Amino acid sequence: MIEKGKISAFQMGKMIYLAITPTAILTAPGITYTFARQDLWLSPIWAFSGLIAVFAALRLHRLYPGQNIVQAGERILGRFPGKIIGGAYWLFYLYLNGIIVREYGEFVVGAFLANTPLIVVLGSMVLLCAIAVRGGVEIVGRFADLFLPAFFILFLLIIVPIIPDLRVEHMLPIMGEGILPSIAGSLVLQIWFSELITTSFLLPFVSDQKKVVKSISYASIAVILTLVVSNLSTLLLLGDLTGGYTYPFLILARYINLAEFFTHLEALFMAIWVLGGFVKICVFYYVTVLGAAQWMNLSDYRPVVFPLGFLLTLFSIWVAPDYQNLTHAISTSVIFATLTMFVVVPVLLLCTAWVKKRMHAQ
Amino acid sequence: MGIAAVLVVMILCEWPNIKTQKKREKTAFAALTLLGGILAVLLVFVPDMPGPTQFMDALYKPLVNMLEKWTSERSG
Repeated sequence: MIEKGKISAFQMGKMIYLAITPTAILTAPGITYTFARQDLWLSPIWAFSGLIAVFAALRLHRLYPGQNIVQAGERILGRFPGKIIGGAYWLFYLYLNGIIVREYGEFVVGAFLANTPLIVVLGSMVLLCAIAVRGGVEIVGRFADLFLPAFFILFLLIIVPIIPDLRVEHMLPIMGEGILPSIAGSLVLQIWFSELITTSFLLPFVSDQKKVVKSISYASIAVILTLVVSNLSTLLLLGDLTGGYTYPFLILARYINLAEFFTHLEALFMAIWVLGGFVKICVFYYVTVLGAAQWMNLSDYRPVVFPLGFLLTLFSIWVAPDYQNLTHAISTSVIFATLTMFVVVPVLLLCTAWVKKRMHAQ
Repeated sequence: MGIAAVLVVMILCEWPNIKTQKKREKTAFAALTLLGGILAVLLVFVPDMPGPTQFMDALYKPLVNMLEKWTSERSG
Protein backbone atom coordinates (compact mmCIF):
# COMPACT_ATOMS: atom_id res chain seq x y z
CA MET A 1 0.00 0.00 0.00
CA ILE A 2 1.39 3.33 -1.08
CA GLU A 3 -0.36 5.36 1.61
CA LYS A 4 -0.48 4.27 5.23
CA GLY A 5 -2.73 7.04 6.53
CA LYS A 6 -6.38 6.47 7.40
CA ILE A 7 -9.23 8.94 7.43
CA SER A 8 -12.72 8.64 8.88
CA ALA A 9 -15.79 8.51 6.66
CA PHE A 10 -16.92 11.95 7.78
CA GLN A 11 -13.50 13.43 7.17
CA MET A 12 -13.85 12.15 3.63
CA GLY A 13 -17.26 13.79 3.32
CA LYS A 14 -15.83 17.08 4.54
CA MET A 15 -12.90 16.84 2.13
CA ILE A 16 -15.25 16.22 -0.77
CA TYR A 17 -17.50 19.09 0.28
CA LEU A 18 -14.59 21.50 0.55
CA ALA A 19 -13.11 20.13 -2.68
CA ILE A 20 -16.17 21.23 -4.61
CA THR A 21 -17.94 24.24 -3.08
CA PRO A 22 -15.31 27.02 -2.86
CA THR A 23 -14.81 27.60 -6.59
CA ALA A 24 -18.44 26.80 -7.24
CA ILE A 25 -19.81 29.65 -5.11
CA LEU A 26 -17.21 31.97 -6.57
CA THR A 27 -17.84 31.73 -10.30
CA ALA A 28 -20.97 29.59 -10.70
CA PRO A 29 -23.68 32.27 -10.18
CA GLY A 30 -22.25 34.45 -12.94
CA ILE A 31 -21.84 31.65 -15.48
CA THR A 32 -25.15 29.96 -14.63
CA TYR A 33 -27.01 33.22 -15.02
CA THR A 34 -26.20 33.47 -18.72
CA PHE A 35 -28.13 30.24 -19.29
CA ALA A 36 -30.80 30.14 -16.64
CA ARG A 37 -31.68 33.83 -15.93
CA GLN A 38 -33.96 34.10 -12.91
CA ASP A 39 -34.11 30.31 -12.54
CA LEU A 40 -30.43 30.02 -11.67
CA TRP A 41 -31.19 29.00 -8.12
CA LEU A 42 -32.95 25.88 -9.43
CA SER A 43 -29.97 24.76 -11.48
CA PRO A 44 -27.91 23.14 -8.68
CA ILE A 45 -30.77 20.73 -8.04
CA TRP A 46 -30.17 19.01 -11.41
CA ALA A 47 -27.01 17.33 -10.18
CA PHE A 48 -27.32 14.24 -12.38
CA SER A 49 -23.64 13.82 -13.15
CA GLY A 50 -22.78 14.00 -9.46
CA LEU A 51 -25.21 11.21 -8.62
CA ILE A 52 -23.90 9.05 -11.46
CA ALA A 53 -20.27 9.72 -10.50
CA VAL A 54 -20.86 8.87 -6.84
CA PHE A 55 -22.80 5.76 -7.76
CA ALA A 56 -20.04 4.56 -10.09
CA ALA A 57 -17.33 5.30 -7.52
CA LEU A 58 -19.15 3.43 -4.74
CA ARG A 59 -20.02 0.42 -6.91
CA LEU A 60 -16.51 0.12 -8.33
CA HIS A 61 -15.15 0.24 -4.81
CA ARG A 62 -17.57 -2.50 -3.77
CA LEU A 63 -16.43 -4.70 -6.65
CA TYR A 64 -12.74 -3.98 -6.07
CA PRO A 65 -12.35 -3.11 -2.37
CA GLY A 66 -9.33 -1.04 -1.40
CA GLN A 67 -8.68 0.12 -4.94
CA ASN A 68 -9.36 3.46 -6.55
CA ILE A 69 -10.78 3.92 -10.01
CA VAL A 70 -7.39 3.82 -11.75
CA GLN A 71 -6.31 0.58 -10.06
CA ALA A 72 -9.74 -0.92 -10.67
CA GLY A 73 -9.46 0.13 -14.31
CA GLU A 74 -6.21 -1.78 -14.61
CA ARG A 75 -7.88 -4.86 -13.14
CA ILE A 76 -10.89 -4.53 -15.43
CA LEU A 77 -9.24 -3.67 -18.74
CA GLY A 78 -5.87 -5.30 -18.34
CA ARG A 79 -2.46 -3.76 -17.89
CA PHE A 80 -1.91 -1.66 -20.99
CA PRO A 81 -5.34 0.01 -21.49
CA GLY A 82 -5.48 0.49 -17.73
CA LYS A 83 -2.18 2.36 -17.82
CA ILE A 84 -3.51 4.64 -20.56
CA ILE A 85 -6.57 5.49 -18.48
CA GLY A 86 -4.44 5.96 -15.37
CA GLY A 87 -2.12 8.33 -17.21
CA ALA A 88 -5.07 10.25 -18.62
CA TYR A 89 -6.54 10.57 -15.13
CA TRP A 90 -3.56 12.05 -13.38
CA LEU A 91 -2.78 14.36 -16.29
CA PHE A 92 -6.40 15.49 -16.33
CA TYR A 93 -6.37 16.11 -12.58
CA LEU A 94 -3.17 18.10 -13.08
CA TYR A 95 -4.86 20.15 -15.78
CA LEU A 96 -8.03 20.70 -13.74
CA ASN A 97 -6.01 21.64 -10.68
CA GLY A 98 -4.08 24.06 -12.89
CA ILE A 99 -7.41 25.73 -13.70
CA ILE A 100 -8.35 25.83 -10.01
CA VAL A 101 -5.02 27.35 -8.95
CA ARG A 102 -5.33 29.88 -11.75
CA GLU A 103 -8.87 30.83 -10.69
CA TYR A 104 -7.62 31.28 -7.14
CA GLY A 105 -4.69 33.39 -8.29
CA GLU A 106 -6.75 35.55 -10.64
CA PHE A 107 -9.28 36.17 -7.92
CA VAL A 108 -6.73 37.12 -5.27
CA VAL A 109 -4.84 39.38 -7.66
CA GLY A 110 -7.96 40.84 -9.26
CA ALA A 111 -9.87 41.59 -6.08
CA PHE A 112 -7.30 42.15 -3.36
CA LEU A 113 -3.57 42.08 -4.08
CA ALA A 114 -3.60 44.20 -7.21
CA ASN A 115 0.14 44.89 -7.28
CA THR A 116 1.42 41.38 -6.61
CA PRO A 117 2.62 39.41 -9.64
CA LEU A 118 0.30 36.49 -10.40
CA ILE A 119 3.13 33.97 -10.29
CA VAL A 120 3.97 34.84 -6.67
CA VAL A 121 0.39 34.19 -5.55
CA LEU A 122 0.22 30.93 -7.52
CA GLY A 123 3.64 29.74 -6.43
CA SER A 124 3.15 30.38 -2.72
CA MET A 125 -0.21 28.59 -2.71
CA VAL A 126 1.24 25.58 -4.53
CA LEU A 127 4.22 25.46 -2.17
CA LEU A 128 1.90 25.49 0.85
CA CYS A 129 -0.22 22.73 -0.64
CA ALA A 130 2.87 20.71 -1.54
CA ILE A 131 3.96 20.72 2.10
CA ALA A 132 0.47 19.65 3.22
CA VAL A 133 0.25 16.93 0.58
CA ARG A 134 3.66 15.54 1.55
CA GLY A 135 2.15 14.97 4.99
CA GLY A 136 -0.31 12.52 3.46
CA VAL A 137 -4.04 12.04 3.29
CA GLU A 138 -4.46 12.28 7.07
CA ILE A 139 -3.11 15.82 7.14
CA VAL A 140 -5.38 16.94 4.30
CA GLY A 141 -8.31 15.28 6.09
CA ARG A 142 -7.55 17.14 9.30
CA PHE A 143 -7.34 20.42 7.43
CA ALA A 144 -10.81 19.70 6.11
CA ASP A 145 -11.95 18.97 9.68
CA LEU A 146 -10.45 22.20 10.90
CA PHE A 147 -11.63 24.50 8.12
CA LEU A 148 -15.17 23.27 7.52
CA PRO A 149 -16.70 24.96 10.61
CA ALA A 150 -14.86 28.19 9.82
CA PHE A 151 -15.99 27.99 6.21
CA PHE A 152 -19.58 27.43 7.28
CA ILE A 153 -19.66 30.23 9.86
CA LEU A 154 -18.12 32.72 7.45
CA PHE A 155 -20.61 31.69 4.77
CA LEU A 156 -23.51 32.36 7.17
CA LEU A 157 -21.91 35.66 8.21
CA ILE A 158 -22.19 36.80 4.62
CA ILE A 159 -25.71 35.47 3.98
CA VAL A 160 -27.48 36.48 7.23
CA PRO A 161 -26.78 40.26 7.26
CA ILE A 162 -28.15 40.73 3.74
CA ILE A 163 -31.44 38.92 4.36
CA PRO A 164 -33.38 42.21 4.97
CA ASP A 165 -32.22 43.52 1.57
CA LEU A 166 -33.32 40.53 -0.46
CA ARG A 167 -36.18 41.17 -2.83
CA VAL A 168 -38.31 38.18 -3.72
CA GLU A 169 -39.67 39.75 -6.90
CA HIS A 170 -36.26 39.23 -8.56
CA MET A 171 -36.90 35.51 -8.77
CA LEU A 172 -40.27 35.88 -10.48
CA PRO A 173 -41.50 34.40 -12.74
CA ILE A 174 -40.36 31.03 -11.46
CA MET A 175 -39.82 28.74 -14.43
CA GLY A 176 -41.36 31.36 -16.73
CA GLU A 177 -39.96 29.59 -19.79
CA GLY A 178 -40.50 26.09 -18.53
CA ILE A 179 -37.99 23.84 -16.90
CA LEU A 180 -35.40 23.94 -19.71
CA PRO A 181 -33.45 27.11 -18.83
CA SER A 182 -32.66 25.86 -15.35
CA ILE A 183 -31.42 22.55 -16.77
CA ALA A 184 -29.31 24.40 -19.32
CA GLY A 185 -27.84 26.44 -16.50
CA SER A 186 -26.93 23.31 -14.65
CA LEU A 187 -24.76 22.22 -17.58
CA VAL A 188 -21.84 24.31 -16.35
CA LEU A 189 -22.44 23.17 -12.79
CA GLN A 190 -21.93 19.57 -13.90
CA ILE A 191 -18.17 20.33 -13.84
CA TRP A 192 -18.38 20.72 -10.07
CA PHE A 193 -20.79 17.87 -9.48
CA SER A 194 -18.79 15.42 -11.54
CA GLU A 195 -15.80 16.25 -9.34
CA LEU A 196 -17.56 14.02 -6.81
CA ILE A 197 -15.73 11.15 -8.54
CA THR A 198 -12.73 12.23 -6.43
CA THR A 199 -14.44 10.11 -3.76
CA SER A 200 -13.11 7.09 -5.58
CA PHE A 201 -9.52 8.08 -4.80
CA LEU A 202 -10.23 8.65 -1.11
CA LEU A 203 -12.44 5.60 -0.48
CA PRO A 204 -9.58 3.11 0.00
CA PHE A 205 -8.25 5.14 2.96
CA VAL A 206 -11.52 5.29 4.88
CA SER A 207 -11.33 3.30 8.09
CA ASP A 208 -15.07 2.93 8.79
CA GLN A 209 -16.43 1.75 5.46
CA LYS A 210 -19.99 1.30 6.73
CA LYS A 211 -20.58 5.03 7.13
CA VAL A 212 -19.25 5.90 3.68
CA VAL A 213 -22.59 6.00 1.86
CA LYS A 214 -24.13 8.18 4.57
CA SER A 215 -21.22 10.58 4.63
CA ILE A 216 -21.00 10.96 0.87
CA SER A 217 -24.73 11.56 0.52
CA TYR A 218 -24.56 14.24 3.24
CA ALA A 219 -21.66 15.83 1.37
CA SER A 220 -23.53 15.84 -1.96
CA ILE A 221 -26.69 17.27 -0.40
CA ALA A 222 -24.64 19.92 1.40
CA VAL A 223 -22.98 20.92 -1.87
CA ILE A 224 -26.35 21.25 -3.59
CA LEU A 225 -27.87 23.22 -0.69
CA THR A 226 -24.90 25.60 -0.47
CA LEU A 227 -25.12 26.28 -4.18
CA VAL A 228 -28.87 26.86 -4.04
CA VAL A 229 -28.46 29.27 -1.12
CA SER A 230 -25.58 31.18 -2.69
CA ASN A 231 -27.23 31.39 -6.10
CA LEU A 232 -30.57 32.40 -4.59
CA SER A 233 -29.13 35.12 -2.37
CA THR A 234 -27.06 36.49 -5.25
CA LEU A 235 -30.12 36.57 -7.46
CA LEU A 236 -32.42 38.13 -4.86
CA LEU A 237 -29.94 40.88 -4.09
CA LEU A 238 -28.59 41.70 -7.54
CA GLY A 239 -31.42 40.63 -9.82
CA ASP A 240 -30.61 41.22 -13.47
CA LEU A 241 -27.12 42.45 -12.61
CA THR A 242 -25.93 38.97 -11.58
CA GLY A 243 -24.60 38.15 -15.03
CA GLY A 244 -22.62 41.38 -15.20
CA TYR A 245 -20.18 40.56 -12.43
CA THR A 246 -17.31 38.09 -12.59
CA TYR A 247 -17.65 37.30 -8.89
CA PRO A 248 -21.26 38.04 -7.90
CA PHE A 249 -20.79 36.57 -4.45
CA LEU A 250 -18.01 39.03 -3.71
CA ILE A 251 -20.41 41.89 -4.48
CA LEU A 252 -22.70 40.35 -1.86
CA ALA A 253 -19.97 40.54 0.75
CA ARG A 254 -19.17 44.12 -0.25
CA TYR A 255 -22.83 45.07 0.04
CA ILE A 256 -23.08 44.26 3.75
CA ASN A 257 -23.53 47.38 5.81
CA LEU A 258 -24.71 46.84 9.38
CA ALA A 259 -25.45 50.07 11.24
CA GLU A 260 -22.66 51.84 9.34
CA PHE A 261 -20.29 49.82 11.49
CA PHE A 262 -19.72 46.49 9.80
CA THR A 263 -18.78 47.44 6.29
CA HIS A 264 -16.49 46.01 3.63
CA LEU A 265 -16.79 42.47 4.82
CA GLU A 266 -15.15 41.14 1.67
CA ALA A 267 -12.26 40.19 3.93
CA LEU A 268 -14.62 37.45 5.19
CA PHE A 269 -15.15 36.27 1.68
CA MET A 270 -11.42 36.29 1.11
CA ALA A 271 -11.03 34.09 4.19
CA ILE A 272 -13.67 31.65 2.91
CA TRP A 273 -12.03 31.53 -0.44
CA VAL A 274 -8.48 31.03 0.79
CA LEU A 275 -9.43 28.36 3.34
CA GLY A 276 -11.71 26.51 0.96
CA GLY A 277 -9.42 26.94 -2.01
CA PHE A 278 -6.53 25.59 0.01
CA VAL A 279 -8.36 22.35 0.84
CA LYS A 280 -9.65 22.10 -2.70
CA ILE A 281 -6.22 22.46 -4.27
CA CYS A 282 -4.77 20.05 -1.68
CA VAL A 283 -7.32 17.32 -2.45
CA PHE A 284 -6.83 17.61 -6.20
CA TYR A 285 -3.07 17.83 -5.81
CA TYR A 286 -3.12 14.75 -3.60
CA VAL A 287 -5.11 12.81 -6.19
CA THR A 288 -2.68 13.89 -8.92
CA VAL A 289 0.32 12.80 -6.87
CA LEU A 290 -1.27 9.51 -5.88
CA GLY A 291 -2.37 8.80 -9.44
CA ALA A 292 1.08 9.59 -10.84
CA ALA A 293 2.85 7.47 -8.21
CA GLN A 294 0.56 4.50 -8.86
CA TRP A 295 0.90 4.98 -12.57
CA MET A 296 4.68 4.68 -12.31
CA ASN A 297 4.46 1.82 -9.79
CA LEU A 298 6.33 3.77 -7.12
CA SER A 299 6.42 2.47 -3.56
CA ASP A 300 6.17 5.97 -2.12
CA TYR A 301 4.45 9.06 -3.48
CA ARG A 302 6.52 11.64 -1.62
CA PRO A 303 9.41 11.94 -4.09
CA VAL A 304 7.07 13.16 -6.84
CA VAL A 305 5.24 15.80 -4.74
CA PHE A 306 7.57 18.72 -5.44
CA PRO A 307 8.21 18.00 -9.15
CA LEU A 308 4.44 17.72 -9.67
CA GLY A 309 3.94 20.95 -7.73
CA PHE A 310 6.34 22.67 -10.11
CA LEU A 311 4.42 21.22 -13.05
CA LEU A 312 1.16 22.34 -11.44
CA THR A 313 2.38 25.94 -11.21
CA LEU A 314 3.39 25.79 -14.87
CA PHE A 315 0.04 24.30 -15.87
CA SER A 316 -1.82 27.02 -14.01
CA ILE A 317 -0.06 29.58 -16.21
CA TRP A 318 -0.32 27.44 -19.31
CA VAL A 319 -4.09 26.78 -19.21
CA ALA A 320 -5.12 30.20 -20.49
CA PRO A 321 -3.53 33.52 -21.41
CA ASP A 322 -6.03 35.54 -19.33
CA TYR A 323 -9.13 35.24 -17.20
CA GLN A 324 -11.63 35.82 -20.03
CA ASN A 325 -10.19 32.91 -21.99
CA LEU A 326 -10.25 30.77 -18.87
CA THR A 327 -13.94 31.48 -18.19
CA HIS A 328 -14.75 30.83 -21.82
CA ALA A 329 -12.94 27.48 -21.68
CA ILE A 330 -14.72 26.57 -18.44
CA SER A 331 -18.13 27.25 -19.94
CA THR A 332 -17.38 25.30 -23.14
CA SER A 333 -14.82 22.55 -23.64
CA VAL A 334 -13.99 21.86 -19.98
CA ILE A 335 -17.62 20.86 -19.37
CA PHE A 336 -17.37 18.09 -21.94
CA ALA A 337 -13.89 17.06 -20.86
CA THR A 338 -14.91 16.64 -17.20
CA LEU A 339 -18.09 14.85 -18.19
CA THR A 340 -16.10 12.36 -20.29
CA MET A 341 -13.41 11.77 -17.71
CA PHE A 342 -15.49 11.83 -14.54
CA VAL A 343 -18.82 10.40 -15.70
CA VAL A 344 -18.56 8.50 -18.98
CA VAL A 345 -15.28 6.68 -18.28
CA PRO A 346 -16.27 5.51 -14.75
CA VAL A 347 -19.67 4.34 -15.99
CA LEU A 348 -18.08 2.44 -18.88
CA LEU A 349 -15.60 0.86 -16.46
CA LEU A 350 -18.44 -0.14 -14.19
CA CYS A 351 -20.40 -1.70 -17.07
CA THR A 352 -17.32 -3.60 -18.24
CA ALA A 353 -16.76 -4.84 -14.70
CA TRP A 354 -20.36 -6.04 -14.47
CA VAL A 355 -20.21 -7.81 -17.80
CA LYS A 356 -16.92 -9.43 -16.85
CA LYS A 357 -18.38 -10.64 -13.57
CA ARG A 358 -21.38 -12.15 -15.35
CA MET A 359 -19.08 -13.96 -17.78
CA HIS A 360 -17.06 -15.36 -14.90
CA ALA A 361 -20.18 -16.51 -13.12
CA GLN A 362 -21.38 -18.52 -16.10
CA MET B 1 17.37 32.02 -13.73
CA GLY B 2 14.43 31.93 -11.38
CA ILE B 3 13.44 28.56 -12.79
CA ALA B 4 16.92 27.17 -12.20
CA ALA B 5 16.89 28.51 -8.63
CA VAL B 6 13.51 26.91 -7.88
CA LEU B 7 14.63 23.59 -9.35
CA VAL B 8 17.91 23.60 -7.40
CA VAL B 9 16.13 24.39 -4.13
CA MET B 10 13.63 21.63 -4.87
CA ILE B 11 16.34 19.06 -5.54
CA LEU B 12 18.35 20.10 -2.47
CA CYS B 13 15.30 19.86 -0.21
CA GLU B 14 14.36 16.45 -1.52
CA TRP B 15 17.89 15.03 -1.71
CA PRO B 16 18.18 13.49 1.79
CA ASN B 17 14.92 11.61 1.17
CA ILE B 18 15.81 10.62 -2.37
CA LYS B 19 19.07 8.99 -1.35
CA THR B 20 17.25 6.44 0.78
CA GLN B 21 14.74 5.63 -1.96
CA LYS B 22 14.98 2.90 -4.55
CA LYS B 23 16.15 3.42 -8.10
CA ARG B 24 12.65 3.62 -9.54
CA GLU B 25 11.69 6.55 -7.31
CA LYS B 26 14.91 8.37 -8.22
CA THR B 27 14.19 7.96 -11.93
CA ALA B 28 10.63 9.21 -11.49
CA PHE B 29 11.81 12.26 -9.57
CA ALA B 30 14.48 13.05 -12.15
CA ALA B 31 12.11 12.58 -15.09
CA LEU B 32 9.39 14.80 -13.66
CA THR B 33 11.87 17.49 -12.65
CA LEU B 34 13.38 17.43 -16.12
CA LEU B 35 9.91 17.65 -17.69
CA GLY B 36 9.08 20.61 -15.47
CA GLY B 37 12.33 22.34 -16.36
CA ILE B 38 11.81 21.88 -20.09
CA LEU B 39 8.22 23.09 -19.91
CA ALA B 40 9.23 26.12 -17.84
CA VAL B 41 11.92 27.14 -20.32
CA LEU B 42 9.52 26.64 -23.22
CA LEU B 43 6.86 28.75 -21.51
CA VAL B 44 9.35 31.54 -20.91
CA PHE B 45 10.58 31.65 -24.51
CA VAL B 46 7.35 30.73 -26.35
CA PRO B 47 4.60 32.17 -24.13
CA ASP B 48 1.76 31.59 -26.61
CA MET B 49 2.54 27.93 -27.19
CA PRO B 50 -0.70 25.97 -27.65
CA GLY B 51 -1.67 24.56 -24.27
CA PRO B 52 -3.88 21.77 -22.95
CA THR B 53 -6.94 24.01 -23.27
CA GLN B 54 -6.42 24.23 -27.04
CA PHE B 55 -6.12 20.45 -27.10
CA MET B 56 -9.45 20.13 -25.27
CA ASP B 57 -11.03 22.70 -27.59
CA ALA B 58 -9.89 20.74 -30.63
CA LEU B 59 -11.07 17.47 -29.11
CA TYR B 60 -14.59 18.67 -28.31
CA LYS B 61 -15.05 21.11 -31.20
CA PRO B 62 -18.32 19.67 -32.59
CA LEU B 63 -19.96 19.59 -29.17
CA VAL B 64 -18.74 23.08 -28.29
CA ASN B 65 -20.05 24.46 -31.58
CA MET B 66 -23.42 22.87 -30.90
CA LEU B 67 -23.53 24.40 -27.43
CA GLU B 68 -22.54 27.85 -28.66
CA LYS B 69 -25.09 27.81 -31.45
CA TRP B 70 -27.74 26.84 -28.96
CA THR B 71 -26.75 29.58 -26.49
CA SER B 72 -26.72 32.30 -29.14
CA GLU B 73 -30.16 31.18 -30.32
CA ARG B 74 -31.47 31.45 -26.79
CA SER B 75 -30.03 34.84 -25.99
CA GLY B 76 -30.70 36.32 -29.44
